[in-house]
Amino acid sequence: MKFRIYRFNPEKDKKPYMQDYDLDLDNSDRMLLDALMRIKAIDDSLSLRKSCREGVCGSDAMNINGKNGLACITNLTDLREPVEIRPLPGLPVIRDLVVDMSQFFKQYHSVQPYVTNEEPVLEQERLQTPGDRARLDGLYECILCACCSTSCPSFWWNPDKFVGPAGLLAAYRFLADTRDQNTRQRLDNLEDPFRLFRCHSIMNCVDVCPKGLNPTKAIGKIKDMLVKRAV
Amino acid sequence: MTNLLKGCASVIEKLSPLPYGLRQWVGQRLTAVLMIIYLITICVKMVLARPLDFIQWQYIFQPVWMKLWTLLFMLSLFYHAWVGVRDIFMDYVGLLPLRLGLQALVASVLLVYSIWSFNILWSF
Repeated sequence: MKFRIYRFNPEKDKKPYMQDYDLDLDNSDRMLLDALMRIKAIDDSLSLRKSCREGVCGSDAMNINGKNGLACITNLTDLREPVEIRPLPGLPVIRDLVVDMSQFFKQYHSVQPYVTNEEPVLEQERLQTPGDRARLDGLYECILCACCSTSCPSFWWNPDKFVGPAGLLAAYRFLADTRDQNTRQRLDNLEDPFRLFRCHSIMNCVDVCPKGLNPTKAIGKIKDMLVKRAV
Repeated sequence: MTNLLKGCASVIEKLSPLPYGLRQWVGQRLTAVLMIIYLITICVKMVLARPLDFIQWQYIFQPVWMKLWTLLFMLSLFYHAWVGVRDIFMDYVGLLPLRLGLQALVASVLLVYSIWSFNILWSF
């Protein structure tokens, strides 16, 4: 199977280039990550992140034939050849397929992704009704792989100002949480023209999310909350 | 110049009942709804006025309410366009003085269009 992989080592390369690999796969090689590990066995200079190899950790997010995804859950039979693999777009490349995700996590942290509750700590959990708990479905499952934010043009152009789909999904996850008491400050934090309103609902994030989540819908609900608060 | 433009933006922000980002977003949606209603109105009027020659066309815009309704449509269109173009500038033009300059240019053009629309409608 043929692969074209983005290579860039800032210590010795002046500019990035694409390197071709022709690989004989075993029957046990099912996913793209299997093939990449086989390439790495041949060429150990290839750098990439990976960990759980089953779509849970989000480490091996990359751009696969033009679309962001996780290598470990991308079936090789679904890919046209040569399989062109690049790092996630819009983030600085550290080396080969490894990107600097500092900006992504900075935006994630900016939405305070944790429950804020000033009431005295209980001796047991803060209980929710099944209905209240169900509101978090489709929100809490995000694995922060950054496939969504790095496929969003608004995040490419304004990564320092626009929170991005992953951060906004997390923001709504805590806005929707009945145990959280910080709704007003959370909405204040998103009200300026850049942090939330750079989203133009083009839904690239929905298209690429490997967990099947819908950040655009969550962003729409935040906008609804802002409108309801204002009127 | 940049400080002056920033100052103006700050004053507008303070005078506005809704925060800037939300105001523009809500405004764009409200104007879209208004434009759809107007387009239905004008389509119905045009069908009822068949055969549609210039005399009939003038007749459609004779009533004052139609002039005002059309002016409201035009102003909605310009506001809608303003938010859209401003969004494009905010996305693609990172240099603040250049962005504010381009926004001022578009705002001026849309203001001229608004006056021109009024002039056309009341010349019928």
